[in-house]
Amino acid sequence: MGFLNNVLKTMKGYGNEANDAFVDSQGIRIMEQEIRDAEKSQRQANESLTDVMAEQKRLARKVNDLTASITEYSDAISKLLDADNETLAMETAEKLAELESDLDGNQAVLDSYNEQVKELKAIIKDSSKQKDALKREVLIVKSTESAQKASVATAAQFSGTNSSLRSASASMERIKAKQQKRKDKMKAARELAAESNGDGELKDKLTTAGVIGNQNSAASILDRYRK
Amino acid sequence: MSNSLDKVQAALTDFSCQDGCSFKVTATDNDDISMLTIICEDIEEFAILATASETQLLFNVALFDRSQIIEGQESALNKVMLELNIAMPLSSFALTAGIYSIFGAMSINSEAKQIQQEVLVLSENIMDALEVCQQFLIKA
Repeated sequence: MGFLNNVLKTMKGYGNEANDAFVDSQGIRIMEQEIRDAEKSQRQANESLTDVMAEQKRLARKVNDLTASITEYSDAISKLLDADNETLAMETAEKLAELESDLDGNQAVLDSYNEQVKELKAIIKDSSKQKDALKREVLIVKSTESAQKASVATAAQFSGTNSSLRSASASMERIKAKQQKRKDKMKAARELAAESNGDGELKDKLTTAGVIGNQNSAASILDRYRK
Repeated sequence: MSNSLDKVQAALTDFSCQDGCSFKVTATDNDDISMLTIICEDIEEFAILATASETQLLFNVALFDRSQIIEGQESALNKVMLELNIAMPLSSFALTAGIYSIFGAMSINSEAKQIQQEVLVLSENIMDALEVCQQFLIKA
């Protein structure tokens, strides 16, 4: 999306009355640099994602362990209170408090890692899309550039300069004259051919005079039978 | 020379239109540019330039540059070109680097017959396009 707009941005002189839009290789180089940048940010995001996911797994394991320990200690406290072992219950409760705050801390970090993983995955997807779009743009700009180079090369061939083409009006007049000449020549050739094909004009006159022709008309056939 | 341009060159060799008009094709292939110059008999000045990218074949004919437009007539000319763009068979008007042209674009997967048709129609459009534009151009 928006690639034509981006192509326009790579054209030098756009929006400037004095200069015509012109694709230059500088613009293409900038786009190619952008592709390399997108690739680099994608690679970096991939590396970060690997690190963050490893850390995420480690923390998830820790949170699981802590949750299991908390359940275990909670059960122990209930049992100790049932058995009226207040002292040990208190000691266990202190341990439980420590574990719970440890869990809270780790859970908070784990939550932030989960968010980071989501973000990194989105960045990777975006930069991959951006890279594909840029690659498509470079292709289009390059084909525009080669057509442009071809035009300029031919203009130079005809006019001897880089900046202007030979006069279109003059060329047109010359071509029209040439085409007319060709038509006239073909017409003359056709007339000549018609004349040499059985001496056209004389044959016509003889037919009109009834001297020749009409040998195979219905009337002439009937005449043959009447004789 | 790209395979696509080779294909174009092969398609146009020994090809001539009904009027017996034939096309002369010359290849230019260097570090800077790879293209075919296709010249139709009688209209040598308006060569069809064929270039190829990875996805498409472009056939472009430079008609005139901005310096040939009568002063103050550029907008009117541009409007006429846009208005006629759809009506022109297979070709469109374009402006690149100050040079006005008509062009046709097609897939690089096109068959020889389609390439011949494209080039033939484009060559027929040249004089028609110029006739329309002439009123806006400085007389020679």
